[in-house]
Amino acid sequence: MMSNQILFAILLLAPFVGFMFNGIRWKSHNATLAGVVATFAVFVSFVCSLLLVSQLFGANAVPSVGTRFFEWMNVGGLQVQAGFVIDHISAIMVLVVTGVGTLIHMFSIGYMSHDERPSKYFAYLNFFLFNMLLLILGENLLLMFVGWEGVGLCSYLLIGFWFTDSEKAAAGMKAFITNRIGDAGFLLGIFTLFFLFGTVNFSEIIARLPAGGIEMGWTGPMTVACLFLFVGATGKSAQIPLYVWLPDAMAGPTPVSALIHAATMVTAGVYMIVRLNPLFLMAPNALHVVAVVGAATAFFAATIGLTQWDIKKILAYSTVSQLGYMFLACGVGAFGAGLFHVMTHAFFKALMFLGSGSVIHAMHEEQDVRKMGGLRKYLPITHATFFIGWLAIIGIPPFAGFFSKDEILWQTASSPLGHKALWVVGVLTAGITSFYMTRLMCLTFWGKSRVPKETHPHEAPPVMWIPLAVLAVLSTVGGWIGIPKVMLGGEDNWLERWFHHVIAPVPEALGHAVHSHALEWAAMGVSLSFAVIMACLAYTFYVSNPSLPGRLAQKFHGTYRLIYNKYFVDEFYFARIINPLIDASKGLWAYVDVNFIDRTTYVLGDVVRGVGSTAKSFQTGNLQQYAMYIAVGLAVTMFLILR
Amino acid sequence: MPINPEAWKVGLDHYLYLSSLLFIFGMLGVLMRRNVIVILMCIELMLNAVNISFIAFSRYAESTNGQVMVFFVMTIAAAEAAVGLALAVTVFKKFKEVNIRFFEHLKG
Repeated sequence: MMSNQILFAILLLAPFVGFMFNGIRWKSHNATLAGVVATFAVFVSFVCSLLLVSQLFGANAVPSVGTRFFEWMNVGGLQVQAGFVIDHISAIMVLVVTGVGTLIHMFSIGYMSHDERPSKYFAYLNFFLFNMLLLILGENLLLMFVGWEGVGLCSYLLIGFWFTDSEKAAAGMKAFITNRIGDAGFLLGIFTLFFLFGTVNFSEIIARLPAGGIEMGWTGPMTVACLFLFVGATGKSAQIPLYVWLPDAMAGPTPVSALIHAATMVTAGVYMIVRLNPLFLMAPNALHVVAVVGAATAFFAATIGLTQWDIKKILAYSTVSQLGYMFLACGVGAFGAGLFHVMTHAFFKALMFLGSGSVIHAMHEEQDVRKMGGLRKYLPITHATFFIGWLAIIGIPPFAGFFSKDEILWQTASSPLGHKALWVVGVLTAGITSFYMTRLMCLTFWGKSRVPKETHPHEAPPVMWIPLAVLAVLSTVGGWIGIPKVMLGGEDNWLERWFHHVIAPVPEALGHAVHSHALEWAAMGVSLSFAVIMACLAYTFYVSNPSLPGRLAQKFHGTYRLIYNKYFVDEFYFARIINPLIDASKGLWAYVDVNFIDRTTYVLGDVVRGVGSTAKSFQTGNLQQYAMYIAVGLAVTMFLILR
Repeated sequence: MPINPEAWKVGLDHYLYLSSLLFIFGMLGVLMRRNVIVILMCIELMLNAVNISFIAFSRYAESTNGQVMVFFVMTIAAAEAAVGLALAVTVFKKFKEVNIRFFEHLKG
């Protein structure tokens, strides 16, 4: 349809135009103009995506809307269209990305108002949105890969946005290089899929899956392809072993952390797996890997979150942990639940990051929670919205996080691909999450004020608190589309009906799901009460009895040190991977380069110079000598002719 | 022994020998002498050696083409001598001598 094509074009190009506008005038210091243009560009995208998504609803609902602009590549067997599609999966992502994106752009207008290079910032932000839309809407893996690389680039640029601080520049590089490893895996996965199916188009790959051909082994081609794709996902979505870049990525401006490193880009890996869900269901072993890695990441990141003092680091580890939940959901075959958590997490984590941004702004760039406390008095709106985010993340009904997290935990327990041990880890993680989030609330907003006397915290301007308020509302109601079946009296919820066509059920060959209302209620009760107990415990620790945590840390000194230093993973990587690589490179330089490559070029240079100096002696500027050469040449020629 | 008049007749090859001899003298002069005026004269000598062969061939082939060529060579020789002498005069004015080595300064 023609009008759809135009809508898609506007949807994709609006952020790009914003990027060009701000990119061309990147030296400008006018934060308001840059911010308003950028925000408007994303808002236009949001409206277009609303118009397109609305076609999936109603009496004349279509299964998907798509358009193809041109043929991008046609090389041998590889045919790639520049085509974009909105179906039930990408619809949720595109609305979240453009919607939350608009709010975060708006927040940035206030947050970056005193920055030196606001135009550059908004140009990067818009360019990020453009690439994210390519990633989400692309109808084939190659377009997704273009977006995948593009968001990686923007992430690098924005983490290192304050590049004059070498630590922040290094954080950007760390993110970029770590992602590179994942991207290599992703690319190998694309190659394997192309080799298997002869196409990179999502719907064609899914259509060409062998019927009932579930691979039980580890070395089947589809299992290998899925594992490669999952390596890509661990890089982009910060899972073990490649999660190390995300906490460091907090060096960027806080709205960037909210948009890129919490709400959108880092969920790309989950989105990719959900997109290819029928393929992953063909490879149950790959799904087991996904589930175990997800659960392990959720747990370890949550424990690290317990000990951090930087408000953004706590949120970063929380993000890694929540992403682990999403992969756990995908790994047990509950792709719908995974995407549901992507959505609710985007709401409440963006809310918390923006809230922390508001706090940092109010505290004049102070991020250490030990120097906060009692901020509720000074920042009532930020506190109120953060409070809702806190309720949502620790899973208190009826806030959004409860429904998605509960769905994941129940699916982990009941799905044929799930396992009781994974459920236990999930519940423990939920408890730890509840503990460290309450700790964050206590240290920041409640208890006694530890704010230095010279700092005077002030509430954010409306341009900053309005996005907070909107996100708070979304964090409250966002979960209602996925109310569990047992609460609705056995009726399918809206989300299940929405995903009915696009998310395949777990094949019966892999076993049957557990159906027991009593068990479901019990599981819900256990995880909820555990979370509440942990929250109360944290409140006792950090408000009622603030000396207790220090004493505990003293008592379990070794464990505390291990966790506080993030299990020494960075140190381990440096000692076992990075430094050996650097040493090997130095060795190659000192031996191979100097002895062979350099020497070859030196010898070649000497030969050329020798020939040159011989030739130079012929060219003296002496006319008679030149005439002599001519005469000799003539004589030789005559001799040769007359011989 | 009777004199064979045919053997004493001047033929094409005699002209060519003369021409080559003059050309080689001229060339040696150009290569060896240091005085620019002499070098210019030697160049004239070479050109005129060539003229002799042109005329000889023209006569031999009973065609006037060679003679026409000679006029061109003479014209060009005159022009060349004018330019060469002008250069020589300029160099003489500057260095009070017309040695060929001063012409190196022309390379700028």
